[in-house]
Amino acid sequence: MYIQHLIAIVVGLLAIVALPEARADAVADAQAGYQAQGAGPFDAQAGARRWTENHTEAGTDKQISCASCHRQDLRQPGQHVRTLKPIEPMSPAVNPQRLTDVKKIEKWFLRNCKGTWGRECTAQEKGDFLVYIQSQ
Amino acid sequence: MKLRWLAAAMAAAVVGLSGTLAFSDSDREGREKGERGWLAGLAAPTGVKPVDNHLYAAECSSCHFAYQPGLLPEASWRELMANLSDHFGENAELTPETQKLLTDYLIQNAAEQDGGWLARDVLRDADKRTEPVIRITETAFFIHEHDELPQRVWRDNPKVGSMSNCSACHTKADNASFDEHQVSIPGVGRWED
Repeated sequence: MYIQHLIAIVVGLLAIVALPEARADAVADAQAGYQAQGAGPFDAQAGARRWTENHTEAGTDKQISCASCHRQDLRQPGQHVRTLKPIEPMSPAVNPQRLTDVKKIEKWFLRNCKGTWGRECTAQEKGDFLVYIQSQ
Repeated sequence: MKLRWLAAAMAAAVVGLSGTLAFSDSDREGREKGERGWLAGLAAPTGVKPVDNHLYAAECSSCHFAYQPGLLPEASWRELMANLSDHFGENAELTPETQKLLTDYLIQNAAEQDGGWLARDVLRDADKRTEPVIRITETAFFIHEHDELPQRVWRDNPKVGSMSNCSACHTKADNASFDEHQVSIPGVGRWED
């Protein structure tokens, strides 16, 4: 066996082992950041409550919540209220790509908190959402 | 001599194909566009060039159809990209780095650079304006092409909802083909006037 083959096999095995690890890390990394800001412990039930909490959308008088686009059942696909574009399920159990990338998590928290609540979410709120989404 | 032409043609095919593959690697949106990318190049004359930037396709089509850059003039894209925190009522903020990359892509491929007949129509419309148009649906050519459609087939149609939802009816819109023969309105079917 050539050394290159051996390296390829080792790298392949490492990738298989490291992949689920990376997933857990994205949430853990984000939460570590929130804890550094004084937040925690995080509560899935608080996240669940806020998921359906209605807010008046800026510029319209519509009542919207996270569930308006993402649905109350996170295992179901959602739909963007304005563009009608399908949104893949939020539940990592159904859609393993969810919660795997800290940058993506923060990008969407920033946009969607501002867009839906009219302000950024606090570190505590974001941490609660993450454990809630993870639990679904 | 013949052999040299053959070699050149094969090299061109490989380059074309590898471009496609490179673009198809990352995620589903990329793959969908990538598969059509090299075929689109064969279909001339085009109205507007297809999207050929993976970052643009991925970022913009998270929420909506990835509009071809040639559908708006440079000034329009500049204004639109400078106001992403209020993007038609949505927050669509990007990191400064991504925002710059996408703005550069849009400007480098805006209607002025596109050369397609659709892009030229967009420019003719822009010439008559004092302010840059931000909504593609407000350009003269767009209105001319869609004004016969009754609201029941688009605004009140739960599968369409808005004129901005190109790919709901234009089945080849992702491939930058807006040909009337390829229109199929959900729940209505083909639409030709």
